[in-house]
Amino acid sequence: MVTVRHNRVFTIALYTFREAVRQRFLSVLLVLALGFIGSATFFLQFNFGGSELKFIADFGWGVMFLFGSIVAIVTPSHLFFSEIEHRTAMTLLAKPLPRSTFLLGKLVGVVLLLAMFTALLVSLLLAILAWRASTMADFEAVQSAGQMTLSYAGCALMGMLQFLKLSLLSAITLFICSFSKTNLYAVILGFFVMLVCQLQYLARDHWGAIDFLPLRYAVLIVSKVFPNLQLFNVGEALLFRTVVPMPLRLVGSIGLYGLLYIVFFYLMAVWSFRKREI
Amino acid sequence: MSASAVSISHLSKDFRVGMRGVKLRAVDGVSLEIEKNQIFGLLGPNGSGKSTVMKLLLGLLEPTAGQCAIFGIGSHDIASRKEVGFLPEAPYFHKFLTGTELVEYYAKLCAMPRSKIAERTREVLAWVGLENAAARKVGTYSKGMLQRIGVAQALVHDPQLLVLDEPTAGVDPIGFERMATLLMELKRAGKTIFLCSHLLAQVETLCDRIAIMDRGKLVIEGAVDVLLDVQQQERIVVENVSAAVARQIRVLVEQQGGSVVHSEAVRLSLDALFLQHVHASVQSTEHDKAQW
Repeated sequence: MVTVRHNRVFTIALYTFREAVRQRFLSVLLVLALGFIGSATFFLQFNFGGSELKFIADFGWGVMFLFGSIVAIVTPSHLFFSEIEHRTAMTLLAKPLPRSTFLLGKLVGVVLLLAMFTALLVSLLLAILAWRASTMADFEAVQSAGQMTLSYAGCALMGMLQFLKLSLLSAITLFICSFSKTNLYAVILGFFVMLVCQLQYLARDHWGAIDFLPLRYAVLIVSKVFPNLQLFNVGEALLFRTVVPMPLRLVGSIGLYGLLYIVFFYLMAVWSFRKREI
Repeated sequence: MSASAVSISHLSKDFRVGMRGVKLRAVDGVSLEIEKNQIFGLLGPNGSGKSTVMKLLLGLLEPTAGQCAIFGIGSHDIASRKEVGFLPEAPYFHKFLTGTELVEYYAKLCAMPRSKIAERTREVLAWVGLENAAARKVGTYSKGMLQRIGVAQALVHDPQLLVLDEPTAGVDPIGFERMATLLMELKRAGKTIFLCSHLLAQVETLCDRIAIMDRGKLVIEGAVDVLLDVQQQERIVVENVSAAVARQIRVLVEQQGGSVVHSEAVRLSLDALFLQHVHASVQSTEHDKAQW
């Protein structure tokens, strides 16, 4: 069922990327996100002290997730339905091109876009953190005492985890698109699923406390099927290394968790799309 | 015995419409064979099921019943599309691509060897008369040029079967003439062409065989000459004869046991008049090759 032709995947991915970067709303979101992160330089006026860097970092990850999730959900949905509505999907799928290759090409194209998006935002966040750390006298004192260090490598690792999280959202959206009839429905359902994934940890921790049996098992299924996006929020531990830094093995596990879920939702999309009428 | 180019057997397709999922039968028990190296026209009014038959043949839709095969390979098998080039109705292509990039994109998707793509792209663009517009973005193309770039992407991997959905819809008489010339060249090159249209008069001159659909059913099929010939009638066009000679001809026919059914002054068709005047003026300008 799953047949992948690597060259053709990259061909579709490249053209998907070229189409995606031309979308006006992407430029607007990118400028807004860069602007918001850049506005962290104005926090200087509030003089939070040593915790200001953590605030800037959290603010940056929050902006990245807010705008990144919009890109991650809206872009694949728009590109997918654009192919359907303009009937370019017909000319593509009338070629000897497996549907799995078509879908993977679309996903990889969006992932390339997300890589560019997160790289730009992480670069700006890193620059602001570095600049602010260099101007804060008390932070230098804390660093000198070895109590806490600002890790730029940790920031880059956190950026990669955010990129994986957003790619996972895109894979989920692609699966939703594979059975949705309209772009709007896919986007709304995509944001709803994102919300469920953000709150998945509640389902995981509290399903056993529900008395009503059907609801209990429904919540249990949610906790098993939907990924826990909160797992990716290890920014503070990665960015501000304390005496015991976060093990890289743990970061690798989180990355593998994200990758496995991306593959899972891609395969679900292939299964759902195989009989879709074009 | 070698397989037909297209083999369709008792094909039916139902669509569910509305909230209650009422079935709409778009194709009802259609069977037909298209031999190799033919131009076959599937004709019929809007909504008769022509495009649905094509989509079923290309595996874009699942049949409710029946089977289709291309060169003996079932339509459900991706391998059946290796020898097929498809032009959909009113084609749309990514506007940011140039003509060359577009054709190369589809060539790559057909897994053509990379070393041959550039040359083959130039070849098909020249064949459809777009070599002067190849570097322009597709978003700047006229409707006729979009049809031609659509044919180019369908031809780039040198398929043996071309499936064209309404290839002349919205195209002016000059554009139709050029499309017709191209299709005849492709037939001479050994290709099989399966086209559908609701512009019956336009495709009459093109097709070897036709089938007519109405409300999902195949109502008639056969060779164009056989279907259109009116039995036991002959048309003779004469010129430079007086009224008296014309009367004598009529008397001679009646003496031989026949009858003159109809007599009138010969008229040009509007298409022929248009082509005589517009085609001549277009040929004298620099824009002839680049515009339709």
